[in-house]
Amino acid sequence: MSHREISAWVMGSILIIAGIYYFRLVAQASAALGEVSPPVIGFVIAYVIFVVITSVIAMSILGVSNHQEANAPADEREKQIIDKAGHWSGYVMAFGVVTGLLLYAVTQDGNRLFHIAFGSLMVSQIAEYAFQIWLYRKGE
Amino acid sequence: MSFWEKGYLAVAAILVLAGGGYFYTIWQQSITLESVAPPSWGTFGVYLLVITVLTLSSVAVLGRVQTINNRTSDIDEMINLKSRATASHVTSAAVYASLVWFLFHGDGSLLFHSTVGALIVGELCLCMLQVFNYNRAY
Amino acid sequence: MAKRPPITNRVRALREANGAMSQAALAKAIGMTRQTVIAIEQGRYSPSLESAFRISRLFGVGVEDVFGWEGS
Repeated sequence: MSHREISAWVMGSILIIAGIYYFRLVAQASAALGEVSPPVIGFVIAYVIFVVITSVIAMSILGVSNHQEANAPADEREKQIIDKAGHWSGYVMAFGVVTGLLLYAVTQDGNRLFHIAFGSLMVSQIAEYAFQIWLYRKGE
Repeated sequence: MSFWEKGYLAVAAILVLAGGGYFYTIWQQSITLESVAPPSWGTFGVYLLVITVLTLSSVAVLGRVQTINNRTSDIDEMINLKSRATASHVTSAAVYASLVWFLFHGDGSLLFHSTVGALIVGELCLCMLQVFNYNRAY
Repeated sequence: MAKRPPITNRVRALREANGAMSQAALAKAIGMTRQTVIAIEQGRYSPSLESAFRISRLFGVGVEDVFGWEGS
């Protein structure tokens, strides 16, 4: 497995764990309120800090364990994979965000729109890493 | 200039005009209401229809005056991928900015309009990148 | 399975004939990753013209001695 593929696995896993953690907090707050909870800055900051710290630690460990590959720029195949994955993840994000916008037009619930848009961004980022892994395996 | 470059420039012009028109309308409504105007199917639907009709018309007009080159070469595919990947990241950043704004202001209508703006900005970025990368490669 | 590019190659044979060069050594010599070299040898990826020239120059042969069109 190349360094970039391993990085994609690690980052995808971190984002999945962080996303589940964040939406669990939101679900608990919403259950307590009896309606969709407004976004809590503390939850968002906790999510960001978790992602940043774990990814820095993970990338540092990966970098130290494979110094040469970590420092090497992406080759032509890897660049194509990164661009393709980025392109496809854009569709995932757009689908989620547009769905949120349409729901808002019906429900006028800004909190729901926030969570859907934030969730779409998370899912699209996870999808980007998933697409990268799939393309690395497929041999594009 | 190729068909594709003209097409992307036309789409960018349409987005700027229609997007500007949409936000001007929202601004006018907000002034009347003295708060951010909530989205309405009428306003949003009209501008979406305008964008769709103008885009299809421009493609039809451009297609009649210029041969549409079949875009299957490797370099075209690379330009397309690169432009779309960058544009999707720009859109994500713009949506994040809208969400952060909502965190501090809590106005759902403002979040709606800023998110629509983010999507328009992303599309504009895509059009500009396509033209830029297309020119750079040739 | 991905559609294979219609380009054949003798990269593996040439690599083994050149002092049993490893995939990693070839990758380093041409500025690619080992996984890309593997993908090339397995016919799952066609390198760019520049990379094709780098590979053939490394082995001291012409591009057409390394790469070919399927069926020819």
